Amino acid sequence: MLFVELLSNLLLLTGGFFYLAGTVGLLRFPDVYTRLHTLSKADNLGLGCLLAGLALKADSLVLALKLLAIWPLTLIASAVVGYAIAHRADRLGIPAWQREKP
Amino acid sequence: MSSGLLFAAVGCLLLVLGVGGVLLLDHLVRRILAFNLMGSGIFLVLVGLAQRSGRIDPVPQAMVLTGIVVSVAATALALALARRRYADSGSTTLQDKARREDRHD
Amino acid sequence: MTTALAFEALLALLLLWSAWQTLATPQMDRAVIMFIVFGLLLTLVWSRLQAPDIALAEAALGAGLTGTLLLDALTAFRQPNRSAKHGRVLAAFRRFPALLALLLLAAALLTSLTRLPLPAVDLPAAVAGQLGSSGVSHPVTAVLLNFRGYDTLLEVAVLLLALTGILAVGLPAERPLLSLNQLVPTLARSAVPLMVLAAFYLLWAGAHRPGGAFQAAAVLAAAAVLLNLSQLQSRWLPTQHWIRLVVGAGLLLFVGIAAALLAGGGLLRFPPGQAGLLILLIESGLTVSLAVNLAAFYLLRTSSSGQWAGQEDSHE
Repeated sequence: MLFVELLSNLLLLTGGFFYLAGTVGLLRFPDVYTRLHTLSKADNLGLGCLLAGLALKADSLVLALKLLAIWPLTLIASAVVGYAIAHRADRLGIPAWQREKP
Repeated sequence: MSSGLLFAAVGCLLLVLGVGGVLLLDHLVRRILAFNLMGSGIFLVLVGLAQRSGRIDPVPQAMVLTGIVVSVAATALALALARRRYADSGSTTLQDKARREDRHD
Repeated sequence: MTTALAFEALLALLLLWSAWQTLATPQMDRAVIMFIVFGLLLTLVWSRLQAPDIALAEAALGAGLTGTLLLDALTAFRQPNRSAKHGRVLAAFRRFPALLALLLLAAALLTSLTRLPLPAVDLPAAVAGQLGSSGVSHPVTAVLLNFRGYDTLLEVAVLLLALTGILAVGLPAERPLLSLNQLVPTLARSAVPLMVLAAFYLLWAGAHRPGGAFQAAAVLAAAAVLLNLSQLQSRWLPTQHWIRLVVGAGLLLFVGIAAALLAGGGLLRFPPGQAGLLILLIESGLTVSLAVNLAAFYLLRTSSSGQWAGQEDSHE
């Protein structure tokens, strides 16, 4: 039981870390494409860790399964929305960021 | 300070912000946004104040639930009216176009 | 306890900040996005206030559907970007007398908030006492459909009235929405069946836990909007009579049951034995009719039937 508790807390902390990383990326990255990248990668991984951590703490199996069902749905939605935003940005001719040449 | 009282206070501030927006801003969509902020503020006051002692009160919760649906309906109607006005006169405010340009020159 | 309060204080600040941004940010599209952010933050507030029913409705309707309506309306105001807007929004708030009045209003409201006496009637206890005879075990549903059922009845009427108003205003015909990409139809194909399933679950769950007709209708309406965005389903036309029939039927069913019950004593006073069944019947009718009504706010926004052109003529 102690092991499950420990694992759950570890997952929650990891999830929190990835959310922090995703938010820093969203604020600091230079253009729309790289920002989408941090949102769809770091935040979704963070969400997965959080949900797994919470599912371990859940009272019943049904509740744990409901929590875990959130993840694939969010992944599908964020993949489609990310693609739609990037596609639109590309159609509008927003250039991708490139490191300045020395 | 309970969370109910805290959010009731936030609701009061949102209401004031919304009143300011409705009175002071020109663009109709901005006014509709401000009106929605007012509504959200009132909802927060209703539920937050009833639950300031920390006990859940289902009566204001049910009323706010009704209120949210009604405010969506009001927003939809207001947007339809604003779009009709824009289509008729090309104006996004309640003032006439000529007068508005006068004022801001 | 202090961690919770610190989180709530942060949430309160973020809520006020996003509300300010909604009014003060110069570009209109950003303002709408900030309003959606405001709605999502408000959803968190509702869950902190232990109001999961409101949180569901706020996320689906307050942030979701209202945001969609606003973004859609912005495409209709095809204005050249006016950069002069920036100074004007802030300048408007600097009009001194109005600002002073607003500050006084805020101060008056906040001081009166702390001086209010405790309520004389203990409503939560009254609801809990009558819950056994209401036919459902979730208090919010009991208040909505049984104790204050007339509120809900009139609310459905208000929705119908708003839709009538929108039909009467007669919006101009517009170019079709941009085709987004191939992925959105794929999303719609996988998500819409799940959304319909979720709507049925919410409707059924409303009797004994958070959920109910409003939330179910919001999810169904969102599914219809998603189908429209992915162009799997065309726009609705104001001339399609089934929309009016379905929207009207929900209210008529509600009024019919209310009228039948009038003989037994009072408006919407359910006999305890059949209350659960009658509430489920009303809720099922409401779910379908509210869903069509809410979706129609978005899907009926244009008429391609040439109605607009005819109205233009009559003006001249």
